[in-house]
Amino acid sequence: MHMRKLLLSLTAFLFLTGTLLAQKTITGTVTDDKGNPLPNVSVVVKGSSTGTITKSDGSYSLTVPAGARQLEFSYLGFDTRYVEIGSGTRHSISLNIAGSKEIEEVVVTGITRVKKSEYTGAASKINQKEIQNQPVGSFDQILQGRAPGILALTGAGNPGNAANIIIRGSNSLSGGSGPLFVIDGIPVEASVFQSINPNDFASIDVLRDASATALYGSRGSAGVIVITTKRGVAGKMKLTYTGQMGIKSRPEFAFRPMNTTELLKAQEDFGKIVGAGANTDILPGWYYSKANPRYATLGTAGQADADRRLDSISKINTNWNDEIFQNGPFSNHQLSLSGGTGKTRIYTSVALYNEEGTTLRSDMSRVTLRNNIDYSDDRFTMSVSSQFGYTKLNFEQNNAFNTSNPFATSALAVPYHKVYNPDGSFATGTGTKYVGTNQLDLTYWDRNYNDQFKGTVGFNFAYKITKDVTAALVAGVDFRETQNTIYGSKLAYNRLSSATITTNAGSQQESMSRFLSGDVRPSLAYRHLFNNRHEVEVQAIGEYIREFAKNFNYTGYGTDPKRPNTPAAIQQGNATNQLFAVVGGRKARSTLVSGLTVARYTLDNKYTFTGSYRYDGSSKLPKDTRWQGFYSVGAVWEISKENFMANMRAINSLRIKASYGGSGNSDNFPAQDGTIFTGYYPYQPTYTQGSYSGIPTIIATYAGNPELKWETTWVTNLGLDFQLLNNRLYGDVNVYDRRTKDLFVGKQLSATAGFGNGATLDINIGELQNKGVEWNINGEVLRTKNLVWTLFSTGSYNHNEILSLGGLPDIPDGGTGKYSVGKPLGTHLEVKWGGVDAATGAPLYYTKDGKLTSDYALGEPVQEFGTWESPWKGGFGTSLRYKGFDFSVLFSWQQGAMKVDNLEYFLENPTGFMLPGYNQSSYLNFWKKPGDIASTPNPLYPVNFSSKIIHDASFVRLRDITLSYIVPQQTVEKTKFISNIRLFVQGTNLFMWTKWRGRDPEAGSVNLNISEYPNPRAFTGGIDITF
Amino acid sequence: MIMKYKKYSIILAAAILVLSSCKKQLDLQPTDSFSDANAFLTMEDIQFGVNGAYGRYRTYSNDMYTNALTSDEGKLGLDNAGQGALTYRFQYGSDPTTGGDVVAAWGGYYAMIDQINRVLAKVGTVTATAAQEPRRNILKAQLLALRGIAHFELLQTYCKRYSASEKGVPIMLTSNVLSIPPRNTMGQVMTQIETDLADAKALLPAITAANFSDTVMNKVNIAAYQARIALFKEDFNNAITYASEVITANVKPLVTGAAFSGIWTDANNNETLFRLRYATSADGTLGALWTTTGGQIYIAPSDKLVAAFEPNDIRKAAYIGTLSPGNNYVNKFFTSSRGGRVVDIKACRISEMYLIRAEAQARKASPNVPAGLADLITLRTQRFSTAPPALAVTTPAELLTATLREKFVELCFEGFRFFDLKRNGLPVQRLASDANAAWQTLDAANYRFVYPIPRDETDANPNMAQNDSY
Repeated sequence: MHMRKLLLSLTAFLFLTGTLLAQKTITGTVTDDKGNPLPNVSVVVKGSSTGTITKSDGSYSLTVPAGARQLEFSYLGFDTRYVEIGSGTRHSISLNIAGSKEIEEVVVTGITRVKKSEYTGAASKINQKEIQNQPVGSFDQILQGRAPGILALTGAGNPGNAANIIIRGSNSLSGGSGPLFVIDGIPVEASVFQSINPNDFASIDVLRDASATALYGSRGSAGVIVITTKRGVAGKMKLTYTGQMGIKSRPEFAFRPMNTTELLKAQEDFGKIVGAGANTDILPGWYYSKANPRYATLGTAGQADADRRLDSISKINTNWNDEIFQNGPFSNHQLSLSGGTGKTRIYTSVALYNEEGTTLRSDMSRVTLRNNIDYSDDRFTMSVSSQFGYTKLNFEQNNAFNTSNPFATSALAVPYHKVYNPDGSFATGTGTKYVGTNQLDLTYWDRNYNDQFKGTVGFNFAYKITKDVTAALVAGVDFRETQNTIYGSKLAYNRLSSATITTNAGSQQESMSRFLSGDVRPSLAYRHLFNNRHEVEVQAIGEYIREFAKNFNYTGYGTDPKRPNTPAAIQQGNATNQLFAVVGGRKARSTLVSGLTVARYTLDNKYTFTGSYRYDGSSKLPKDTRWQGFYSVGAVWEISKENFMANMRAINSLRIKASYGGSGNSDNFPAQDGTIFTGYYPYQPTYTQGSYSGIPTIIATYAGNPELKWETTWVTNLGLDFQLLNNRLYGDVNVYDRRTKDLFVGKQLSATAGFGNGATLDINIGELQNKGVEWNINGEVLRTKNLVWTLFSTGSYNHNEILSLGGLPDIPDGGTGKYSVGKPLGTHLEVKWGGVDAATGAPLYYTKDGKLTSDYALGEPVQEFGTWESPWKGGFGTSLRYKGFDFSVLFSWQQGAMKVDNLEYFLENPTGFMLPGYNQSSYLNFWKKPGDIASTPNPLYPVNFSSKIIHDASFVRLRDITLSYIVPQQTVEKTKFISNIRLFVQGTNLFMWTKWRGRDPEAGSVNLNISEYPNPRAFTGGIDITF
Repeated sequence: MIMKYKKYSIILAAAILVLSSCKKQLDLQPTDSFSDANAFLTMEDIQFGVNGAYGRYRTYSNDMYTNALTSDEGKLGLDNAGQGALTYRFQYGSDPTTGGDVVAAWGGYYAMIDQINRVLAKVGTVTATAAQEPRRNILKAQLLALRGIAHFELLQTYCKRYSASEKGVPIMLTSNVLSIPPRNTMGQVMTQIETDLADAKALLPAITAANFSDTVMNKVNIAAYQARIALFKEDFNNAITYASEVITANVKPLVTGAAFSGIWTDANNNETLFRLRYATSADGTLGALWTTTGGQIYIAPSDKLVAAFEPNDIRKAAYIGTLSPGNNYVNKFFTSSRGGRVVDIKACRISEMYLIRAEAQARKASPNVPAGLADLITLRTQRFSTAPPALAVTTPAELLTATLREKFVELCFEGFRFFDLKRNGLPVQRLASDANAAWQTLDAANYRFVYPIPRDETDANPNMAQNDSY
């Protein structure tokens, strides 16, 4: 009875308060951080469309409905700020210029939104300002140097190429360590970003610790990157045009191939040592040389002929870099509409991106359309986020190290060869002599491109059942279809000269691949503040994800060059022409079903405790291990809110965070499960149809691991967020320890398992550790009324180590190294180079006993040369704001990476590669006579792979310089129809400081470089106009 | 409030319903390959599985190769650039580099056994039409026979001369991916082999010359294997019994003249009790074990073998080719009447039965020299263009020597010689013209008479004991 009475009176009280609060009017003034009034600031009741804008003196007055909790203050170029309405009626605030610091940043985990002060883990936000107008086709290229803990290697520089992203170190031997990408709450396919427009992004959250990754259960262990796109801002519809134009060009390299003079000299020096073995007209520098004993035997006419030939050869000096590279124009145009009336807000944008690569026939064009709609009333909120993108990507011929690769060609082609015949056609032919021209000829005739359509649509409905309880449903689809076309013209010299019937006839190859994933996520959330002190939030979430992958391809032959690049030109194969088309395809699917509970308790806004538990069932696992649980716990202590801190004026804000938890990585199954789309059925044995002397068979081809589980990564994280000295020094520092358990290690099987001697099967047995520290520190060096000068540094150190291979022996890593206990991943394995013997020119290698030998077979491969995975990496820079001007500079760097310079192996190798007729590097310095201090041995000895070619790939890159100017409001307002104009000029990738002697140390495979598409240098300029 | 709980419980119930219906969605099967669930569903699938088992018995070509390399049959040819050289020089170890040739059969035969076990597990339960139903027992019998044979091949390759208590090989009767079995004794393995072959025979129909097929396991060729296995076990009475069973069946009598030489070019399948088929060059070229398709002679017949042919022996031309005096090549499997060099492996021939019976007559407890000699004469009568030279055989020892000499010639390069020497405790003795002094002989007691267990196996399987001295 008493209870009921109490409840009744409580309800009555709440009702009364509600009525009292209804229709409250709030007034105040908005200023910038210097106290200048800010006009036109949007002031909106959060989660509704009730709002107004500030007047020219920065003042506002807004009548807010009952139940309104927060006001949202937003203004272009400034960070959005949220203020609790509480019981007051006057709220005057100041806004910070975007990109400085945020008073109350929100961490978006993709599943939840958490105030930074209540977030127990390590997360960094990359803001709109840093994402906008970057001249790259794949947005992940932006991440380098902008958030701590990320190793973001750009990879090759071809338009639209995705980066290699590793968060807090690699955590798998056999699988990938790529993070999960989530856009507006919907997980999207990794590494396929060319059809996504980053100018629509509002922010990117990089989540690195378990309090976020555990929310994703079996998918989160490599970190999560959450993208939030722009939403409509309440108020009048605003139309913004952004235009950007520029040019991309080849960067400067340390590497330079030899010119004609150098090469002819090198050939002569080589011939002097090798003698008759070098008597070939492939080496004219020696063949026609007066120093060649052959010369004396030629007679007068022969000698005159040799002189004439050498003279005319020496006058040709083709710079193949100039033939292969070009300057590529770049442009990007975007129109966006943002606004809202009543309960609905809309953001719509259409954008056109065009980039020409820095080599012939490599470019990218993209059209994107984004439509974000939000609706909210007292009980119901709904948002729809959709993006459709179409991209056409032209590739250069090839990225492999052969003469189809323009970059390899530009290094290998000999400078005394001509590009064109007198009639203007390419001077093609057979043999090394035509390496360069045949490449250009192929590029001219062939086509190699893909067309991609990508659509990502997410729906989010939420219904407030009571004041505290909300039910929601998120549903989304990520769809991508790529059609890849390779047209091999029969007019290209490589085809004309081929004896293979199908090659000679020309070919048309198309492959269509489709990826579709659907995600449905119902949830129920409860949130309540008890006694104004205890805030409790509990959420129960279910998730169902389905993935489909499909691929179809054909290659047809006999294509008529009068109808280039169309499947219609394919000839039907028959017994006479032997041009049988090849057709193939494949498909696979997977399902993930999960239940997730997330809870948070905050006391007095000072102490927060969080916990989560996720239970995942996956079709990729066997019944016994199919369901696995992942949890996380965390805590935050806002020290600066304690009473004892009240007098410490230097400290504006200080909080300590701790979290622990685990997650799996469902995308890193060993790619050997016998199915064509690998990694989908790794626990099942697979059988394929074969043939025994023409009669069909069914045989087991993959064993299947019946005890398979996820690799799970458990992370301990300790963090400190700080704002000091009147908010002029701020940032965060995190330390972490990540242990990946049940690591897949290839276990050798007994032959009795049925797969032959030495077959391996990946089993969950190893353990791996990544531990390190990350920082993000910002300081305002100067802050006056008109001038703000900021310095910032972000970076991390990561120590990676294999703790256990389950007692199994070391395993080759499939690249240039070996997995060994106690060593980091990516540790190179090579024979140690001991230099060149000055007396004999013999190469020297270290044996097992540490002695020097010139017999390569006696050299002992060791792991003493570091790893490609850089332990230190980060970014730093500065920004300077003076009135409407904003100047910012970003450097990115990595320290401690060692890579194999394969280009050196080929191009400082006179016997192996100069003798057969290729060019050499200008660094070539081979032993010629006793006493020479040389880097390449006497050409009488072979050049072998050794630690000689492992070099420091550390670098500092000047990634970005931007100067922008916001035209003063008074000037703009005179036009009546324009509300904002911003002009900017930008330079990307302008310089690089590195000891690396090859081309771009970032391009190519993570562990080695030969000659890949280098990251271009770009100069662009543009304008943002808001109407 | 109650209403509210109702609402929640409805949501909860709906959620549970959704989750449980999802459970089915978690049981996904591959679409692009077969899985355990659907690899073998019909009798036709079982047939395909059995075909796969026969296909894996092609490992037998490795037995042919190593038997030639580690015995006195072959020598390194003029074009040899190291192919099989370490094996020929008895320098093989358990590692894949030096022991590549001799460890290959280990993986090959266990892959064959695993294939058999996977199919055997399903043969009893797959669906079959009434017309197909009789195939069930026939296919099961073929699998059992092949399993017994595969275990036997392992036994004679990786174990000592037969002794029931010696280290055998692991018996595998079910497929087990993570198996790490210890070695059974030779006696245990032998019992299993005998059981499999007897069970197979019991399931199979009677054979006549009309319904005999030399491409599948049947009552007759299983008996032939039983004879070979009994001889290995040195169970001479049974060897005689089984060999007689095959000879009496008379499905593939001995032939002579062109009918004989046609066997080696696949012009006919005379004398062949069981063969492993090669349809096109994509299946492999058997003769390339000795001579490449480009005509490079890697392994040549030894001078000892060439000299062993008596005058007028029709086998010499069929088996040995000569480019120039002293430069011989293996003519067996060299050309094919089917085009190119595609010929089948003759894994079991009728002449072997006569030789088994002759050896058994010589070695059994109470030898029967006249009976053994009669078998040799029967064979030799077919092998000479004129009357065969007389054999001076009066004692069991002479009979044994004459039998082994005859087998050396008759079955050269068919995978017997090394095992024959091992079974009889005889050394390998090569001629000085065939081999350097360092590898001219392999004493009967030398540990290399037993090939090593692959190091890959001992690394992977802690229960696996290595053979002595490796």
